[in-house]
Amino acid sequence: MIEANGGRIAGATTLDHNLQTRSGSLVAAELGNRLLLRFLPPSQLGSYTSGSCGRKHWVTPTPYTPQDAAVWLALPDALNLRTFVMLLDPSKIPDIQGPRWVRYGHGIEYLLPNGFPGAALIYPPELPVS
Amino acid sequence: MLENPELVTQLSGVMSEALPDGYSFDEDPAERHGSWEWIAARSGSDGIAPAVVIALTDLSGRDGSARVDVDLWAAADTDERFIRLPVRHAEFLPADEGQLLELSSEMLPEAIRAAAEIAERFSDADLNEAYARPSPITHPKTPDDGSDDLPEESPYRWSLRPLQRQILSLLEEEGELTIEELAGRLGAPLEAVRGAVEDLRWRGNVVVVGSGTAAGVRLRRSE
Repeated sequence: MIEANGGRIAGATTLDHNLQTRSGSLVAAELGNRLLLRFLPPSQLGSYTSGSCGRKHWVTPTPYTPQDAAVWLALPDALNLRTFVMLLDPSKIPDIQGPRWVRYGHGIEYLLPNGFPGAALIYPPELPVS
Repeated sequence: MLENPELVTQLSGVMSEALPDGYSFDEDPAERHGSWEWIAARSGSDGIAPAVVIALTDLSGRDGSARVDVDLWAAADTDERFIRLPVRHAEFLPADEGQLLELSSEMLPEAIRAAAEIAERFSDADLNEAYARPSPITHPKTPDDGSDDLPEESPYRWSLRPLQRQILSLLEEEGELTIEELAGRLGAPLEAVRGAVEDLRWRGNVVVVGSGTAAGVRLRRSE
């Protein structure tokens, strides 16, 4: 999908500051208007329902089960399953870096260097993943 | 508890002080789906980059009880293969942020050293997982030439193939150029040139000459 739309996926060892930074609308076009997913453990429920600006978040365009997310995204604390997900509209996020293959993993991810505004969240802001 | 950016910065400081010689954090930490993650890698002379991965996951409850899980891995990779092994897992139940810093200062230095020792022992034969390799890149929506005709905001304006051809052609003429110089000469966005160069390096078409900052690094065509 990404490559078919003219994008390229940076290698897993590419450092964050070497990833291209683009506007969310360009990334949305690259993704064919698909959404970005930010998985979260139950302990984070309610933390970002108004957005999260000013901190870096990794997100992925790929839907995973909680078990698969731990493996494919090389998640820390893998036994603490990410059983919820936030869906983000990339066109509402000003800056997006990537995509890149996950380092020490197998998935694809984008970096939100300045986080995401509440306007990017798709309602309802947190969904259970099974 | 880890929602306080100052605390995260202080924890970064604790970790930095504990890193063995040659290891450094190349990036600020980021939230990876619920965990803060730091990667400290070292450039290995044999092309293998040993690394220590440290992650903190805030599992504090809404009732005010605090719990932060700490995980450390020993890792190593090349551009093509990798290994990542868990080395330590600890559950901190700090009363406050100060105690989390205290606990981290006590536990992390030894754990980081242990992870680095393991990472240093990884050889090429240990890298038993392969990174996904990009498929041959095709751009069905990108014209082979005449990309200048594309509108300013088109995501394909600085697409990979035409840009890479221009980069290789310029390096052929000039010998060596930095990414900044390439972007300036081509009138292309720095990020686009950086991405195109990264791909050319991966494919072995260009090599880095000497050292420098990301945009200032000098490049030349491979023989």
